[in-house]
Amino acid sequence: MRIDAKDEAIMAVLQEDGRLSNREVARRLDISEGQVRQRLRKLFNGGAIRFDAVTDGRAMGIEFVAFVKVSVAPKHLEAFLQTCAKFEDVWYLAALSGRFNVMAVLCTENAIDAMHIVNRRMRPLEGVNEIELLQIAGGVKHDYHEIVVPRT
Amino acid sequence: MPASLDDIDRALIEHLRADGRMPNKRLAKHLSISEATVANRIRRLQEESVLRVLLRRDLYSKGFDLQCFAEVSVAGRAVERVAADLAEIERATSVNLLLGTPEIMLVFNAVDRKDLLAVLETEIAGVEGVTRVELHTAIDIRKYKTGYARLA
Repeated sequence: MRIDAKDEAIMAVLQEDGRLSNREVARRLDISEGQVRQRLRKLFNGGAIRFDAVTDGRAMGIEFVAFVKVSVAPKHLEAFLQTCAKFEDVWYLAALSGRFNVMAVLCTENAIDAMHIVNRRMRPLEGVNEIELLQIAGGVKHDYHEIVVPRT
Repeated sequence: MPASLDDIDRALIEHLRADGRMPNKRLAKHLSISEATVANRIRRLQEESVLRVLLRRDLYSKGFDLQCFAEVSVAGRAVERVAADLAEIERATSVNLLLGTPEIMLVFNAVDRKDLLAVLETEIAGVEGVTRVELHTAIDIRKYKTGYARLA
């Protein structure tokens, strides 16, 4: 999909406030409302954008966030990813290159909940060799304007 | 600290996570409250830095083919200062302080192999106090919600 300067301008406005109406976006950029609607539909359908809610972790009771690296036997990797993707507390999941072939980001209310997920739900899965967890103690930078839209 | 959230706030947030551009009218209907209440609650949650609804862009559509996790070890300099320098790297989307060694987890994007090399050899290597970098590359991102951030 080609993304032109007008698309970029529309996206820039909505990256600050995703609930602005098409009419308001059109007014700010001095283009027609129909054009805003049409371009947003193209971008959305092409998997280039999503409209999403970001919440403050602490306000939502999230006190424990960790990077969980897992080494899984290759023939069990796909099944492991499919199972872990269903875990509600796993907010990010990817196959990785290197000594560990899975990276998950786990967000829970406390360390005990995280331990239960790791020990009771991940570790028993077939093919798991090793799990290493890096707990986040503080964030210095976090740009939440980007995601990856899942490909089906 | 933001005020505590009630069940309606939480339900509202869940609906906005699914569709950030759902009109107030439809949100009101789902939650059996008035449209004015929906508008007020969204405004209050945003003002209290509990919630942000925004357009998020797909990394791949933006031309970033590689998402990388760099575990950074630090010596001879305050970890917070090293982290602050790493946060200045334009490609860095997330910089987190960890407990123990490695001290920092840096998440960054790269367009391609050459770009990745430039971030590693020029930008990260240029930060004083970085003694070791262990790099993991996400080769198949399966889930990317990361709906939590520090907004307050």
